[in-house]
Amino acid sequence: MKYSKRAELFRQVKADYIDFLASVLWKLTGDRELFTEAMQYSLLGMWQNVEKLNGPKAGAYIYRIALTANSAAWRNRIGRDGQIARSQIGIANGPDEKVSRSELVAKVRQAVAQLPARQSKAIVMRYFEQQSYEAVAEKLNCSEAGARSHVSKAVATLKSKLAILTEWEE
Amino acid sequence: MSKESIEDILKNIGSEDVPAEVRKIAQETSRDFSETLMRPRQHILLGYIMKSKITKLAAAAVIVIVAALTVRHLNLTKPTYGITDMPELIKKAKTIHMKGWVYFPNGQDGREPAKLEFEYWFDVENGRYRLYKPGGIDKDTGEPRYYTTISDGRYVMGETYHRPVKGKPWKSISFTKLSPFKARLEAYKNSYVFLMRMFGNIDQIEGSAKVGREKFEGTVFDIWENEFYFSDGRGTKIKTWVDPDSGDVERILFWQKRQKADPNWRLVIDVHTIELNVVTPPGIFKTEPPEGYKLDNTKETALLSGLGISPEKVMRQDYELHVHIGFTLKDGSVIIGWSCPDKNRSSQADLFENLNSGGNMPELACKIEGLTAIPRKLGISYTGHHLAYTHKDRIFYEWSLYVPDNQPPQRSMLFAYEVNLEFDVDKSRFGTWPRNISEDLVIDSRYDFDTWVLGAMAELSDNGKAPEQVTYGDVLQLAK
Repeated sequence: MKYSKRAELFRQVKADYIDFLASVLWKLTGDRELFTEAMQYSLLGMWQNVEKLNGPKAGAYIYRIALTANSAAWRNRIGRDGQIARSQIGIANGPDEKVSRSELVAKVRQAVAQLPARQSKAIVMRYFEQQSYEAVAEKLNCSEAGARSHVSKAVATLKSKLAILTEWEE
Repeated sequence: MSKESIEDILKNIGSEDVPAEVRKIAQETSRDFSETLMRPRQHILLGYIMKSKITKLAAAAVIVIVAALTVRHLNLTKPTYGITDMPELIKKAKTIHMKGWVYFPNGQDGREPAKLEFEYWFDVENGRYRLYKPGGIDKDTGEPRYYTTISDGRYVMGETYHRPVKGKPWKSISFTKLSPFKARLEAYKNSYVFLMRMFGNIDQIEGSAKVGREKFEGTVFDIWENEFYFSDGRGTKIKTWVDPDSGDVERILFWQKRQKADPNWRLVIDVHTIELNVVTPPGIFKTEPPEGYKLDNTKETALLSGLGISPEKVMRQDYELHVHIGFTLKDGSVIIGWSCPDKNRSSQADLFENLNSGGNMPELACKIEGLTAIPRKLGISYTGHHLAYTHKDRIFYEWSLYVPDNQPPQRSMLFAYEVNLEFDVDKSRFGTWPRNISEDLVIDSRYDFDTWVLGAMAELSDNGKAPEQVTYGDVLQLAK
């Protein structure tokens, strides 16, 4: 595809999806710096894959791009070696330490960014976008039961990762 | 602590509205990106990311390979890159990222070499770098030893291994303070000079041949191969995958052998990632000691490592002779910055009066009057002449030009320069003096000269300026 055509397509896709992208990324990041970084990654991903965004599956592709961008932004923040993801997330050093709600929400977001791709997508669509399981299943190209399974596994993974907060878990 | 479930937290996140200021950020980011796309070629996306306000704050820079893929899509001018373009592309790179494997010999019993990872990041312009590299196999544990050295442009944080305690080796952290010039110099030496030692010099690179093409992830790379030998018979073979459209290097394989007649090449280094002008990950150059490490010193107590002599230095004997830096010019002549402080003399100013470029050196207690190329069998000697002087913190620095009596081979064919000293006082009164100079920089162009030679002179001047009469053209003319 010629550059001029790519640029035109990119401009169009951007106009159509910028609000959607901003909404998803904000819910994923909840932080201006991370948001900007993820936005940069997303735009880059959209530009590099602009040919794929010229069709009915554009929305699903942009979802994927946004989630990848979010993971990359979080990865940058917590280090490439994923130290924090290695075991329990170190919100508190011991069960007695209290964690503020905003920190907790940030840690949940961080944990979402570290979920396997399909689980991450399922969680974002189901909870952040508040879509029905039917819609999640359609976008994930699986059955409704499959979508429920992805969401349920994702929640279980999050619980396990955040299990150190026993008080909060009860 | 609330009793909220994870599901509740996720739902609450989902019901949050996007604040107006965040929408504004989205619009601005989007507009910046579009503007960047309209710019002509050459790393447009890097420019875009660097423009980001947040990135400028260094709070959230992103790692983005300035994708050759993307640049190629732009379908603008299309120069073709070959192996001979590599030195210039690397030299001019503002940031460099290299990752790969080093193969260490693993004992004497014919075992396979140990394949150990390394990763280097350089922000050459700002003298920042992060080196993660193996130091071989620990004899006590049989495990590889890895060292991380980080420079933030001001401090270098290094690791030291210690003998095992209860069967486990441990590391401590120490800091060194760098002058800005020294920081840039170290980054340059660890990046460009390191790579050029692999590639060989310009002449050797020009001897490379294109031996094939190979496709990686949709991009076709030219494969360049080169083989060259040093005067002692050591051989080097290097294979480089270059994208002719973008100049991107996909991979470098580097072999060595001890003698030309030896049929066995030993794979020494495999660089599988080389990225130029990428945005460096945030925080990668932070010199914060990891938790649990013993600190040998702190930033506050770190010693300054500049080019010159620290004003706090206490001389134990009457004299010292120091070589501060050396340069080999493209005509084979050599510039050395050196000093000979005298403990009993309040000033050496009178010794540096009335000196002329190309004339005699100052009458110091010891002079580096000449050099001899090593290996000596080449039979090349260099005669020294005064070029200029600078002074900083009461120390006078002599800059001498050494002119060879025969056309020397390329610098990469020499191991070092042996210094020929002329003592005017008894040697026993000297605390220290150098024997060889091996870590000189090769100066191929006016750009190199202005950056490094004049930069070094400025570094060793109280006024931060190099002597006005020293220019690249004049020095080459003088050497003739």
